[in-house]
Amino acid sequence: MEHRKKAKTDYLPTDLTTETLLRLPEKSVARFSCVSKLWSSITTDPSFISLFETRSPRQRLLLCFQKYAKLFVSSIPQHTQNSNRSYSSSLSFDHHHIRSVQESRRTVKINHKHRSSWDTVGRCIDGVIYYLTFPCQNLDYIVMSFDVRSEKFDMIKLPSGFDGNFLVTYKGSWRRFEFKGMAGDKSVSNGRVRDSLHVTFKLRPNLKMQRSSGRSDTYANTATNGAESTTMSAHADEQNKVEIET
Amino acid sequence: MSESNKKISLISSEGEAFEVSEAVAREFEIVAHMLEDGCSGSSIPITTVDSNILGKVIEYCTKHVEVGNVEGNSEKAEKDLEEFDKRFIAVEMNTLFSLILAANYLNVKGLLNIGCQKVADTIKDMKPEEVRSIFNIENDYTPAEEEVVRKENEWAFQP
Repeated sequence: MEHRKKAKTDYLPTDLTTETLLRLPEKSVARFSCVSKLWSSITTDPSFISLFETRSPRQRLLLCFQKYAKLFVSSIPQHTQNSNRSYSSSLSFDHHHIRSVQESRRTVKINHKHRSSWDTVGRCIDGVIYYLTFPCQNLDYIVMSFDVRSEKFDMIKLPSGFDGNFLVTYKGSWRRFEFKGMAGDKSVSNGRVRDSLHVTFKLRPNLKMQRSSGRSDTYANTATNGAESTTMSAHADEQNKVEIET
Repeated sequence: MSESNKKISLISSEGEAFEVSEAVAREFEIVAHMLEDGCSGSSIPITTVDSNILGKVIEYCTKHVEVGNVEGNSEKAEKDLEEFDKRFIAVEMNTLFSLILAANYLNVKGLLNIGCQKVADTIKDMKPEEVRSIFNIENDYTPAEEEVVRKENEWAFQP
């Protein structure tokens, strides 16, 4: 210890300390805000936080809940192992969640008028929430997307005649499909209602999804990183048809 | 006049000369800039870095230049390099800090990156007290202030 004190270049300047802190897990960063006032000011600096978020994409937990016709979205960092701590403390590090749980609530403006129904289903992929809903003017389904990071809404039109109020996932790589058309029917098996959807996708492996530009023939399948409630099977034959059953 | 065989002397803070190929010297971005500006002879003083550390940084850059020159078999080469980096950076904290400072000054990005990552990996599970001692940081919180910050981040102290 003693000789360490004497050594010459024994400490890192602030920019290198910051570089190091950026490489730590969130839990360590939070703990190390107790090291000194300087470290606390580094770790709570908005530019540090935004760098940290982009550098270390951590799994986030997205909470969607609904009160009457309002859909609330809250994004909190997912801390594995440690689920005992209270919400408010875990949220203190998180600058862009919507603190609807305990503290102030932020309202994000939306340009596409739509309504949510009592059974709106949301799915999340790569930090973007998708949910099926209707625009205000008519009854054709649309998929709304909400990017939690940028807090921007976007709309994906569906072909008219779309029937069904759920979203399915396909290996989490929904971007690769371009929707071509579908028909829905309902059947009862073993006393339970089974909705089956026959969907034909044209496989477009290297194309990004086309959002609602021009003709509206894009359909998004969405997935969460982990828990997924929709069971699904998909087969692709040589005609590039994919059948999805939920 | 073959450029690639040109030798350059890097002079440490103690005045010791390290002769390296231009390709290795160019791994030091600061040196590369000097060479480009044409404002240097064949010996370049690196006044803030001592012989021990300068030698190590040169070792790092030499290895990376060598591997970069090998064609084909890139997967194996990459693995080798990863192994090398791992061994190279497994040093005690003081040396590690000095390496980071040198890499920062000389602008050797790869070394700076693995250095900071190594520090992060080392302190990841430590208590604030241990980090203070490693970084030589004086605790400037009053006990009451520290208590407040600890409370705010209570979850981060649980195992």
